[in-house]
Amino acid sequence: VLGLAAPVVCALALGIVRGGSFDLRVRWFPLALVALAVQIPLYTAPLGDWLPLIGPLTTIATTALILLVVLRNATGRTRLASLIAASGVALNLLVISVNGGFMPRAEALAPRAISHPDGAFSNTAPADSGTRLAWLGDTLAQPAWLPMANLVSPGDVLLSLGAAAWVLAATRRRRATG
Amino acid sequence: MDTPVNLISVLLTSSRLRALLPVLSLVAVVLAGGAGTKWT
Repeated sequence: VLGLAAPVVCALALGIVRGGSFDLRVRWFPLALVALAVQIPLYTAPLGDWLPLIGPLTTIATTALILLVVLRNATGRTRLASLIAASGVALNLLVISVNGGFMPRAEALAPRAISHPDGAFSNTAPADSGTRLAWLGDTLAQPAWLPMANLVSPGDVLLSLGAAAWVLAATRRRRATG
Repeated sequence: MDTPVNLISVLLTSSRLRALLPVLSLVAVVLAGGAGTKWT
């Protein structure tokens, strides 16, 4: 999680160090906050026996919501960055959808053992011979020294880099005075 | 009006929070669009 958010934070810090001012706007941002607000309890809290049905559908729906938000922002100076991020979300949505609402995970490559909270819904599933588009799943291992190191997908990488480019594209350099 | 309601109202209209919202939204996009599969 931290590794994917880090490029955004670094881009923000870079913009500040360069003395830029931010003109960052995220259209339809409440939808992104709603998607996150739904996912956090869904993936961390024991919500009951109906989770196996509602969990995969909710994963697909919230990811689609994020894709909608990112595509809505593919205009102006941030167009290219938004499209890079959107392609990442679209790849994640594709692989999750064709695998029944679960992100396939190349468990053998994991940098550390992962444990899910008891009773909570896990939206990843170990990849096997029946997995579709397995290469788009969680197949890239983050360095073990990274806090909360984990497996990420090619879509995650595109999304993370696109979001960082989005921040940079929204940074204006202050003009020198005098 | 209750004090907590007042506090929320102040927070929501605070210019600092408004300035932070786009960044928080972008982080939400990254987390919910990809890293949501990696909470643990």
